Amino acid sequence: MQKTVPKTGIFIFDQGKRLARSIDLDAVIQRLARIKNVIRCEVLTDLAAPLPSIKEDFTSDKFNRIFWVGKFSDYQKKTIQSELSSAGLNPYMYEWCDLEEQGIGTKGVDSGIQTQKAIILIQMTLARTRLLEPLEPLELPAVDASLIIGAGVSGLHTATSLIGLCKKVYLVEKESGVGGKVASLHRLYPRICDPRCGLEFEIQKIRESDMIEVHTLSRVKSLFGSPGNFDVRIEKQSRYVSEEKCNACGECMKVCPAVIPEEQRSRESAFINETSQQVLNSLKSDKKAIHPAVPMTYPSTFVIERQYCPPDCRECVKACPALAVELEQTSSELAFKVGAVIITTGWDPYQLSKVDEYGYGIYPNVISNLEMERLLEDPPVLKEIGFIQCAGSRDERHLHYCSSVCCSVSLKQVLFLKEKLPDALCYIFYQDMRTPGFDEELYQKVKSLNNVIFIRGNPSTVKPGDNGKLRIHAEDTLSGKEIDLSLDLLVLAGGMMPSQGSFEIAQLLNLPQNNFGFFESHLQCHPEESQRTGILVGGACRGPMNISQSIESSHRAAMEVLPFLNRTILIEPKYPVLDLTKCDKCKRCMEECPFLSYVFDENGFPSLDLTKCRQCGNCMGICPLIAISLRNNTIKQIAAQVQAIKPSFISKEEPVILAFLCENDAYHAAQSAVEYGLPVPPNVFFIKVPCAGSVNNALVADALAFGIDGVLIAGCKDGQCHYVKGNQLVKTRSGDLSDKLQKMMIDPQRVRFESLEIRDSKKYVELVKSYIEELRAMGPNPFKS
Amino acid sequence: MKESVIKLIHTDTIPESSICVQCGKCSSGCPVAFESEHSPRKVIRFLQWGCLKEASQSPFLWLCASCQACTVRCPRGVNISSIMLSLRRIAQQQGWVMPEENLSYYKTFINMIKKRGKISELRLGLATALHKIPSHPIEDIVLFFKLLKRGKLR
Repeated sequence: MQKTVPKTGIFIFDQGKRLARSIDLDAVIQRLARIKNVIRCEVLTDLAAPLPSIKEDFTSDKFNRIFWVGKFSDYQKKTIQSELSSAGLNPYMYEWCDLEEQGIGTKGVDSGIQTQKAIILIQMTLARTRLLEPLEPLELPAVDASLIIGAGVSGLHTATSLIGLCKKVYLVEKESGVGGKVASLHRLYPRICDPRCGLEFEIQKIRESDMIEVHTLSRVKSLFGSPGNFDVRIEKQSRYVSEEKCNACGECMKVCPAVIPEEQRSRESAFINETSQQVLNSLKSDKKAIHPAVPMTYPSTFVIERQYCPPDCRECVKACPALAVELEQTSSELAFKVGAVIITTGWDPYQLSKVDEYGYGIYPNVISNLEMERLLEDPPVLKEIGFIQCAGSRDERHLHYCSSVCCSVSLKQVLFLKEKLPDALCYIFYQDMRTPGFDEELYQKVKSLNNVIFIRGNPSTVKPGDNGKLRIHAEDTLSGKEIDLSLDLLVLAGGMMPSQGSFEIAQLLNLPQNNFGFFESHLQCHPEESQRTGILVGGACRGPMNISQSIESSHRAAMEVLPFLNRTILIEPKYPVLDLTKCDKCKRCMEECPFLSYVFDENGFPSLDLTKCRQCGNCMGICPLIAISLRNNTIKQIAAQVQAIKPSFISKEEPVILAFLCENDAYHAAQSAVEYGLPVPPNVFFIKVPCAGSVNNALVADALAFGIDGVLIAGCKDGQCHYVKGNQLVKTRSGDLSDKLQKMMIDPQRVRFESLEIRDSKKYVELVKSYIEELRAMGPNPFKS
Repeated sequence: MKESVIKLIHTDTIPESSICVQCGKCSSGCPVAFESEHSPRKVIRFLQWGCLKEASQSPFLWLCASCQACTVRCPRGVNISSIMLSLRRIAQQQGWVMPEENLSYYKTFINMIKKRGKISELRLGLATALHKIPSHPIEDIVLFFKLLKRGKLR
């Protein structure tokens, strides 16, 4: 790029003469006018009048960068920006310097000191302004299709909201049909509707759309590339029935001799009586080896589970009038390109056989709540039914968390059961009844039913009783009484855990999972963003949630994926740039990047995947050779700012602090401290950084070498960082830093790391005050001139 | 109150009681809780309130068979069984044992170990039976012969 002489225009905007009251503006102007290459330097009291002349001066090339001092409203900033960009000024060629937020105008501080501080602040920004370069956003080509993994309720809703926006969707499902777990439920509360009705509504939209490709019996085999350009390969297992020819007439099912045996569960015959036999019968499915797609019959093509076929049986081939059965089909692979990925792999029920004390899998009439949904369609005659809540949830030995839906599910099941069997006696054993929001209504409804007894206390074991009944002993902890019951049926409210598919995908895409295996995301601010750019997570693979929450979550994921689904992806010029002449391939940037944005190039240097980068600058902070700089906030610019500080502007004894504040919260805390009129000491200068992790140790050492007495780095609290771990990275680097400082004969205590929340303005002031006291006791920096 | 509880004992088991959620799984699985007006859950509840004395005076302590059924089933991982043992020791040290409790068996057992390093079942049986005032040592005589016949007393 052609080097141009930096010619700067400085405009001090003093609306209502607020600045003039606390500092000597004339002295400031006189001092600034002497600086080389400052072409125009004036105080404005109004914006509208001088703006055309500033614009004219700029167009006649008197200056090429502008620097605004003072407090501007957002409206004024926008006006200035639009006026100047119409004159051709690059939006990255001007700087704002708000003197008031740095503490100019605080009551009780000597005007002379304030004037000195104002001059230093303006010089700091001026030093930075000199190094500005015109920047343009990058436009990278991209594909506007998306891949959705998992076609349960979340996947279907994400798909339909995306095809509604005319975006191409590839929907991949490992089962033979769509619908997921929700399709296996009996009825939904509160509208008492069949869940399949709602799913069918979405499937209808998919049927009619030509923007979607549904791949059932498929798994993602590999996924490479970057957001906007992912290369996907999926493996499609053979269905043995042609999707083009089959019209789901069902002739094949009539002749198929193979019935799929029931799921293997050790049911000991000793415990079987009349009721438990009925229970077993109603849970039995008579699915043949050739059957319609499950759980929902979309796609409408039948499917053959070949492992259950008798050898050399070709009955279905003979029976099919459409000649659709192709027993020699083999699995195939499919490749396509997508711009973004949404993972909606959902949940699996917790294996209740692990909760061995309740005898699931041993006693035939101990069933899970999912089996109860099936049983509710046509329940056998039952007299006494028990429900045990938190079976395996909220338990140190099983799932540590609350699955959030099981209480409401059990209440719903009691409600329907009592509708069909009004004389049945229901016992609900619970630890805490958790019915958030409007589910409370359901709780009250069930409480008002006859013969429903809530027992606060969990049974310890289930034992066989007379006649194949179950014997339960429990303590009602509210009355302290012990209860002995003999039950016909026991329903265990098992919890939700991440599905098997979630684990497979997490391994394939290197996605972070939390301790329980659910996908990690920033729960408060970006709940649907995984820690890999362009890959979003929606629904119950993110955490236990009910159907409406899953649908909300999936629609939100569909909204968040939109920036990636364009023909081009726009990248703001704030991304880091690596200076290859300095780099020695130490790879620390690759290690510390929270979003794994760095890959190796052909020469073994790290190279940044711009679309994955979230521009936090943590790589700039770690680089030991200072080879990485954010484009709009280069390390040179910050160093120039640091150098412009005169550490003895108050007096030689008075300590001066330089604070690096994270722009997400610590900066706002400092800003509001001034707004609330808190007594911020004049000793502190701060520089706003994108993340505390972007402060390089070299900058800190620089500042101390120039005679600044103390450096404060303030970031978010642990676990609150928007960039996952920026604040923690700072702390891990502090060891390196103190070594470095000790070599320079500087006390490492002169650097402090603090966590500040956005409303911690009082804490900020106290922190600065106590730090000043500490530095006073420590004595001035030996490098202070 | 709580601090004094923690200070009093030197094991780390009793502060553990604060994580109990009072689900009652311990009481429902306890083989001896039906004998006592207090269940293990209630003893833990006393500790949560900081009522160490009340907990130590509970008759349940001396019924506990240390079968560990409660500890195994506890969803929060509270070591209830060892809490009971700690409480027994505290009750002894502080002199909180209720007068109706007959601890002669425990005392004889410990004394014997202290004295000889091992126990003689015959002496233990005799000593316990004699201490069981006002019950009749005659009651156990029948048992004594039966045990002797099978070579159980050594």
